[in-house]
Amino acid sequence: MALAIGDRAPAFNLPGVDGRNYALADFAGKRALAIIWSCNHCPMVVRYEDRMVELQRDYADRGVQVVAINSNDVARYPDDSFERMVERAREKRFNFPYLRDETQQVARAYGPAVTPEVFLFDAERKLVYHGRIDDNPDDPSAVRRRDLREALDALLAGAPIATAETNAVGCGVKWK
Amino acid sequence: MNDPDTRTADAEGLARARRLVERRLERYLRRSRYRLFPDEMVVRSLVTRLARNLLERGRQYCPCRKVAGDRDADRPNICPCRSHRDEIARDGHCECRLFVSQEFAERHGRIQAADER
Repeated sequence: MALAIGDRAPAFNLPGVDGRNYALADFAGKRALAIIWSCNHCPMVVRYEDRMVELQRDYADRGVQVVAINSNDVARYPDDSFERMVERAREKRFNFPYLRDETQQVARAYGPAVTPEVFLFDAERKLVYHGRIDDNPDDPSAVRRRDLREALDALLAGAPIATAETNAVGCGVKWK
Repeated sequence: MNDPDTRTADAEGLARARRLVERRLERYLRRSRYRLFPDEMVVRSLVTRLARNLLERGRQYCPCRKVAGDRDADRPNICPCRSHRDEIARDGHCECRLFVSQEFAERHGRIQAADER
Protein backbone atom coordinates (compact mmCIF):
# COMPACT_ATOMS: atom_id res chain seq x y z
CA MET A 1 0.00 0.00 0.00
CA ALA A 2 1.50 3.34 -1.01
CA LEU A 3 1.81 6.34 1.26
CA ALA A 4 -1.25 8.55 1.36
CA ILE A 5 -1.27 12.29 0.83
CA GLY A 6 -0.34 13.89 4.15
CA ASP A 7 1.76 10.93 5.35
CA ARG A 8 5.28 11.66 6.52
CA ALA A 9 8.27 10.38 4.58
CA PRO A 10 9.65 7.19 6.13
CA ALA A 11 13.33 7.42 7.09
CA PHE A 12 15.97 5.82 4.93
CA ASN A 13 19.74 5.51 4.75
CA LEU A 14 20.95 4.20 1.42
CA PRO A 15 24.19 4.05 -0.56
CA GLY A 16 24.51 6.44 -3.46
CA VAL A 17 26.37 5.97 -6.73
CA ASP A 18 28.87 8.63 -5.68
CA GLY A 19 30.16 6.42 -2.85
CA ARG A 20 28.42 8.15 0.03
CA ASN A 21 25.36 7.19 2.03
CA TYR A 22 22.25 9.38 2.04
CA ALA A 23 19.68 9.57 4.81
CA LEU A 24 16.32 11.33 4.71
CA ALA A 25 17.62 13.68 7.41
CA ASP A 26 20.44 14.81 5.10
CA PHE A 27 17.87 16.80 3.11
CA ALA A 28 16.43 18.57 6.13
CA GLY A 29 17.22 22.02 4.78
CA LYS A 30 15.34 21.52 1.52
CA ARG A 31 11.95 23.17 0.96
CA ALA A 32 10.82 20.21 -1.14
CA LEU A 33 12.04 16.69 -1.67
CA ALA A 34 11.05 14.75 -4.80
CA ILE A 35 11.83 11.07 -4.38
CA ILE A 36 11.52 9.28 -7.71
CA TRP A 37 11.49 5.52 -7.91
CA SER A 38 13.68 4.67 -10.86
CA CYS A 39 15.87 1.98 -12.39
CA ASN A 40 18.34 1.42 -15.19
CA HIS A 41 16.40 -0.74 -17.59
CA CYS A 42 12.78 0.38 -17.85
CA PRO A 43 12.16 1.96 -21.26
CA MET A 44 9.82 4.45 -19.60
CA VAL A 45 12.46 5.58 -17.12
CA VAL A 46 14.95 6.01 -19.92
CA ARG A 47 12.54 8.47 -21.53
CA TYR A 48 12.35 10.54 -18.37
CA GLU A 49 15.98 10.67 -17.30
CA ASP A 50 16.78 13.90 -19.13
CA ARG A 51 13.65 15.48 -17.69
CA MET A 52 14.71 14.46 -14.18
CA VAL A 53 18.09 16.13 -14.70
CA GLU A 54 16.37 19.26 -16.04
CA LEU A 55 14.03 19.30 -13.08
CA GLN A 56 16.90 19.27 -10.59
CA ARG A 57 18.73 21.91 -12.59
CA ASP A 58 15.68 24.18 -12.82
CA TYR A 59 14.61 23.92 -9.18
CA ALA A 60 17.88 23.51 -7.28
CA ASP A 61 18.20 27.19 -6.42
CA ARG A 62 14.65 27.21 -5.07
CA GLY A 63 15.51 24.65 -2.41
CA VAL A 64 14.23 21.56 -4.16
CA GLN A 65 16.04 18.24 -4.13
CA VAL A 66 15.43 15.32 -6.47
CA VAL A 67 16.50 11.88 -5.24
CA ALA A 68 16.20 8.71 -7.32
CA ILE A 69 15.93 5.28 -5.70
CA ASN A 70 16.36 1.91 -7.40
CA SER A 71 14.83 -1.00 -5.46
CA ASN A 72 14.62 -3.59 -8.23
CA ASP A 73 15.62 -7.19 -7.62
CA VAL A 74 19.07 -7.51 -9.15
CA ALA A 75 18.92 -11.32 -9.20
CA ARG A 76 16.23 -11.20 -11.87
CA TYR A 77 17.29 -7.90 -13.42
CA PRO A 78 21.08 -7.69 -13.39
CA ASP A 79 20.88 -4.47 -15.41
CA ASP A 80 19.78 -2.83 -12.15
CA SER A 81 22.97 -3.68 -10.29
CA PHE A 82 24.76 -0.99 -8.31
CA GLU A 83 27.65 -1.06 -10.78
CA ARG A 84 25.26 -0.40 -13.66
CA MET A 85 23.65 2.38 -11.63
CA VAL A 86 27.05 4.06 -11.29
CA GLU A 87 27.58 3.78 -15.05
CA ARG A 88 24.12 5.09 -15.83
CA ALA A 89 24.46 8.06 -13.52
CA ARG A 90 27.77 8.95 -15.13
CA GLU A 91 26.49 8.46 -18.67
CA LYS A 92 23.38 10.58 -18.14
CA ARG A 93 25.17 13.07 -15.87
CA PHE A 94 22.72 12.74 -13.03
CA ASN A 95 22.81 15.87 -10.88
CA PHE A 96 20.92 14.23 -8.03
CA PRO A 97 21.63 11.31 -5.69
CA TYR A 98 20.84 7.90 -7.19
CA LEU A 99 20.44 5.44 -4.34
CA ARG A 100 20.32 1.67 -4.12
CA ASP A 101 17.62 0.04 -1.96
CA GLU A 102 18.97 -3.51 -1.98
CA THR A 103 16.66 -5.00 0.66
CA GLN A 104 13.57 -3.23 -0.78
CA GLN A 105 12.65 -2.11 2.75
CA VAL A 106 12.42 1.52 1.66
CA ALA A 107 10.28 0.60 -1.33
CA ARG A 108 7.95 -1.35 0.95
CA ALA A 109 7.70 1.66 3.25
CA TYR A 110 6.85 4.10 0.43
CA GLY A 111 4.90 1.75 -1.82
CA PRO A 112 5.80 2.63 -5.42
CA ALA A 113 4.11 0.49 -8.03
CA VAL A 114 6.14 1.42 -11.11
CA THR A 115 9.22 3.24 -12.29
CA PRO A 116 9.31 6.18 -12.64
CA GLU A 117 6.99 7.16 -9.80
CA VAL A 118 7.23 10.37 -7.78
CA PHE A 119 6.70 11.04 -4.08
CA LEU A 120 6.91 14.80 -3.46
CA PHE A 121 7.29 16.00 0.12
CA ASP A 122 7.07 19.49 1.58
CA ALA A 123 9.50 21.07 4.05
CA GLU A 124 7.91 19.10 6.90
CA ARG A 125 8.27 15.94 4.85
CA LYS A 126 4.55 15.42 4.40
CA LEU A 127 3.52 13.88 1.10
CA VAL A 128 1.88 16.51 -1.09
CA TYR A 129 2.02 14.93 -4.55
CA HIS A 130 2.27 11.34 -5.73
CA GLY A 131 2.36 9.93 -9.26
CA ARG A 132 3.75 10.79 -12.65
CA ILE A 133 6.31 13.35 -13.77
CA ASP A 134 4.14 14.52 -16.67
CA ASP A 135 1.54 13.15 -19.08
CA ASN A 136 3.73 12.14 -22.02
CA PRO A 137 6.64 9.73 -21.59
CA ASP A 138 7.09 9.57 -25.33
CA ASP A 139 7.50 13.16 -26.44
CA PRO A 140 8.62 15.94 -24.08
CA SER A 141 7.51 18.56 -26.60
CA ALA A 142 3.97 17.20 -26.56
CA VAL A 143 3.51 17.29 -22.79
CA ARG A 144 0.24 18.95 -21.81
CA ARG A 145 0.29 18.39 -18.06
CA ARG A 146 3.61 18.89 -16.31
CA ASP A 147 2.23 17.42 -13.13
CA LEU A 148 5.35 17.35 -10.98
CA ARG A 149 6.42 20.86 -12.00
CA GLU A 150 2.92 22.18 -11.39
CA ALA A 151 2.90 20.59 -7.95
CA LEU A 152 6.33 22.04 -7.17
CA ASP A 153 5.34 25.52 -8.34
CA ALA A 154 2.23 25.45 -6.18
CA LEU A 155 4.13 24.10 -3.18
CA LEU A 156 6.86 26.72 -3.43
CA ALA A 157 4.27 29.47 -3.83
CA GLY A 158 2.38 28.27 -0.76
CA ALA A 159 -0.66 27.50 -2.89
CA PRO A 160 -2.81 24.35 -2.82
CA ILE A 161 -1.77 21.60 -5.22
CA ALA A 162 -4.64 21.18 -7.65
CA THR A 163 -3.97 17.54 -8.50
CA ALA A 164 -2.27 15.71 -5.66
CA GLU A 165 -2.36 12.25 -7.17
CA THR A 166 -1.94 10.90 -10.69
CA ASN A 167 -1.26 7.46 -12.11
CA ALA A 168 2.35 6.91 -13.10
CA VAL A 169 3.17 5.01 -16.30
CA GLY A 170 6.07 2.63 -16.22
CA CYS A 171 7.40 -0.83 -15.51
CA GLY A 172 6.40 -2.57 -12.33
CA VAL A 173 8.86 -2.43 -9.42
CA LYS A 174 10.69 -5.75 -9.48
CA TRP A 175 10.00 -7.25 -6.08
CA LYS A 176 12.03 -10.09 -4.62
CA MET B 1 15.91 14.05 -41.38
CA ASN B 2 13.58 16.55 -39.83
CA ASP B 3 11.86 18.08 -42.85
CA PRO B 4 8.09 18.58 -42.69
CA ASP B 5 7.40 15.77 -45.20
CA THR B 6 9.34 13.28 -43.11
CA ARG B 7 7.61 14.40 -39.94
CA THR B 8 4.22 14.15 -41.61
CA ALA B 9 4.99 10.67 -42.91
CA ASP B 10 6.17 9.62 -39.44
CA ALA B 11 3.02 11.02 -37.84
CA GLU B 12 0.79 9.29 -40.39
CA GLY B 13 2.64 6.02 -39.92
CA LEU B 14 2.31 6.27 -36.17
CA ALA B 15 -1.40 7.10 -36.45
CA ARG B 16 -1.95 4.00 -38.63
CA ALA B 17 0.02 1.86 -36.22
CA ARG B 18 -2.02 3.22 -33.30
CA ARG B 19 -5.29 2.37 -35.02
CA LEU B 20 -4.07 -1.14 -35.70
CA VAL B 21 -2.94 -1.61 -32.09
CA GLU B 22 -6.25 -0.27 -30.80
CA ARG B 23 -8.25 -2.64 -33.01
CA ARG B 24 -6.17 -5.58 -31.81
CA LEU B 25 -6.61 -4.58 -28.17
CA GLU B 26 -10.36 -4.20 -28.62
CA ARG B 27 -10.57 -7.68 -30.16
CA TYR B 28 -8.54 -9.14 -27.31
CA LEU B 29 -10.57 -7.44 -24.61
CA ARG B 30 -13.82 -8.70 -26.15
CA ARG B 31 -12.70 -12.29 -25.76
CA SER B 32 -10.80 -11.96 -22.48
CA ARG B 33 -12.02 -11.19 -18.98
CA TYR B 34 -9.59 -8.28 -18.58
CA ARG B 35 -10.03 -4.53 -18.69
CA LEU B 36 -7.74 -1.67 -19.61
CA PHE B 37 -6.10 0.32 -16.81
CA PRO B 38 -8.70 2.89 -15.72
CA ASP B 39 -6.67 5.98 -16.61
CA GLU B 40 -6.88 7.30 -20.15
CA MET B 41 -3.44 8.90 -20.06
CA VAL B 42 -1.74 5.70 -18.94
CA VAL B 43 -3.48 3.71 -21.67
CA ARG B 44 -2.74 6.35 -24.30
CA SER B 45 0.98 6.33 -23.39
CA LEU B 46 1.18 2.57 -23.50
CA VAL B 47 -0.69 2.34 -26.80
CA THR B 48 1.65 4.94 -28.27
CA ARG B 49 4.64 2.86 -27.22
CA LEU B 50 3.08 -0.29 -28.64
CA ALA B 51 2.43 1.56 -31.90
CA ARG B 52 6.02 2.82 -32.04
CA ASN B 53 7.33 -0.67 -31.49
CA LEU B 54 5.05 -1.96 -34.24
CA LEU B 55 6.20 0.78 -36.61
CA GLU B 56 9.90 0.64 -35.78
CA ARG B 57 10.41 -2.99 -34.90
CA GLY B 58 7.63 -4.70 -36.82
CA ARG B 59 5.80 -6.06 -33.78
CA GLN B 60 3.87 -4.59 -30.87
CA TYR B 61 6.33 -5.48 -28.18
CA CYS B 62 5.46 -4.68 -24.57
CA PRO B 63 6.52 -1.10 -23.80
CA CYS B 64 8.08 -2.16 -20.53
CA ARG B 65 10.30 -4.98 -21.72
CA LYS B 66 13.67 -4.78 -23.36
CA VAL B 67 13.65 -5.86 -27.00
CA ALA B 68 16.71 -8.01 -27.59
CA GLY B 69 16.51 -7.83 -31.37
CA ASP B 70 16.14 -11.59 -31.69
CA ARG B 71 12.69 -12.38 -33.12
CA ASP B 72 12.45 -15.77 -31.40
CA ALA B 73 13.68 -14.53 -28.03
CA ASP B 74 11.42 -11.46 -28.23
CA ARG B 75 8.27 -13.31 -29.34
CA PRO B 76 6.98 -13.88 -25.76
CA ASN B 77 6.94 -10.11 -25.28
CA ILE B 78 4.52 -9.33 -28.09
CA CYS B 79 1.49 -7.75 -26.47
CA PRO B 80 -0.55 -9.43 -25.03
CA CYS B 81 2.64 -10.99 -23.73
CA ARG B 82 3.08 -14.55 -22.56
CA SER B 83 3.34 -13.66 -18.89
CA HIS B 84 0.42 -11.24 -18.63
CA ARG B 85 -2.11 -13.78 -17.34
CA ASP B 86 0.14 -14.89 -14.47
CA GLU B 87 0.97 -11.26 -13.64
CA ILE B 88 -2.68 -10.24 -13.56
CA ALA B 89 -3.57 -13.25 -11.41
CA ARG B 90 -0.80 -12.31 -8.97
CA ASP B 91 -0.89 -8.49 -8.97
CA GLY B 92 -4.16 -7.50 -10.56
CA HIS B 93 -2.33 -6.01 -13.54
CA CYS B 94 0.23 -6.97 -16.14
CA GLU B 95 3.80 -5.69 -16.07
CA CYS B 96 3.13 -2.37 -17.77
CA ARG B 97 -0.41 -2.11 -16.32
CA LEU B 98 -2.15 -2.00 -19.68
CA PHE B 99 -4.36 -4.97 -18.79
CA VAL B 100 -5.91 -5.26 -15.36
CA SER B 101 -8.36 -7.59 -13.65
CA GLN B 102 -11.97 -6.50 -13.31
CA GLU B 103 -11.50 -6.26 -9.54
CA PHE B 104 -8.49 -3.99 -9.94
CA ALA B 105 -10.35 -1.78 -12.42
CA GLU B 106 -13.34 -1.45 -10.10
CA ARG B 107 -11.18 -0.72 -7.05
CA HIS B 108 -9.07 1.79 -8.93
CA GLY B 109 -12.11 3.31 -10.57
CA ARG B 110 -13.58 4.14 -7.16
CA ILE B 111 -10.33 5.78 -6.06
CA GLN B 112 -10.21 7.82 -9.25
CA ALA B 113 -13.76 9.07 -8.73
CA ALA B 114 -12.91 10.32 -5.23
CA ASP B 115 -9.91 12.26 -6.57
CA GLU B 116 -12.00 13.95 -9.20
CA ARG B 117 -14.43 15.47 -6.70
